[in-house]
Amino acid sequence: MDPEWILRIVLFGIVHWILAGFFLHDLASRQRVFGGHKPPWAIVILIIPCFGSILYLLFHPQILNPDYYQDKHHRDKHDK
Amino acid sequence: MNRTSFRLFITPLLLVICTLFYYFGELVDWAVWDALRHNFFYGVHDIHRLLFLAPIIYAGYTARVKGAIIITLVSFIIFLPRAFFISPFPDPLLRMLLFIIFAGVIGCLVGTVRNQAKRSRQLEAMITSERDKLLSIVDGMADGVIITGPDYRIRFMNANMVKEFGAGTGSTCYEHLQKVDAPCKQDCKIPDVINSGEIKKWECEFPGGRSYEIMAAPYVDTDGTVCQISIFRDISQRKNA
Repeated sequence: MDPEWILRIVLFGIVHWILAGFFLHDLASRQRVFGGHKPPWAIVILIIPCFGSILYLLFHPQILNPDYYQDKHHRDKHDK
Repeated sequence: MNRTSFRLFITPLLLVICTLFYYFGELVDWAVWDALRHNFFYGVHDIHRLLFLAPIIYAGYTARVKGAIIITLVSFIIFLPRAFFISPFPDPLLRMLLFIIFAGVIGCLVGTVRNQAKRSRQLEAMITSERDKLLSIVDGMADGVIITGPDYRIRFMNANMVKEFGAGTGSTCYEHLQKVDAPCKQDCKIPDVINSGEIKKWECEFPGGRSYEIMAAPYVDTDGTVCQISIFRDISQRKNA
């Protein structure tokens, strides 16, 4: 195999596992997930390299806003 | 959709817009939109990649370092098809990698700065609340409390002291309390307290026939200046009895 292709696959693999690590950790700590079940999401993240992670991110954008729950809590409290 | 919920989708939305822009040439080819065919969309995509700085920096701003890393890696995945299969220009993977490293570092820096700013705000709020608590305790005291600097200027008076002598923060203690133009020679213990660090206790007469028992101790103010903190206890009744 062409060394450049090996390099590409290695790079792709590294990115996949870093993202998978982030999102599996998020999945484990999350109380509720889209669809209600965690195992299918874990499979999606692990089996579909990179794009599974992007899919998880699209359905759980809260991961990019850690203040969301705090803001929501404040807002709910304020509304009451 | 309310504002908070909308904020969640800003980063994914920015990524989608950037991706569409990044692959707009291919999109035009695929959809045969000849009117939109411009050379700009078919050149080296180093400039087009710069647009991805927006979601990366925004993620660093909202989700700190973790968010910046995630969006940098997602951007990397988005760049891969062009680097692997589309780009006819030399070293597409290397140029893309260099940009990813640069953007990732910028995003992480933004995240770090935001983290520190948030921590500073929290610390500031905590200090302010502690200070307010302490001030309320000092204000509630039955005795007068006054902080005087080495230049004899009053830096703080508690509510009881203000009630007895009037507000005088900023003016000199001898002018405000004793109504004289120069520091009180015999009664003043400021030099002793500040220079030697001793706790002193003495009695002092003030205009109007008021007598106070004063206890003074050294106190380091927030600016690092050694000052004198004094507690004034009214002993006029005891003296007159």
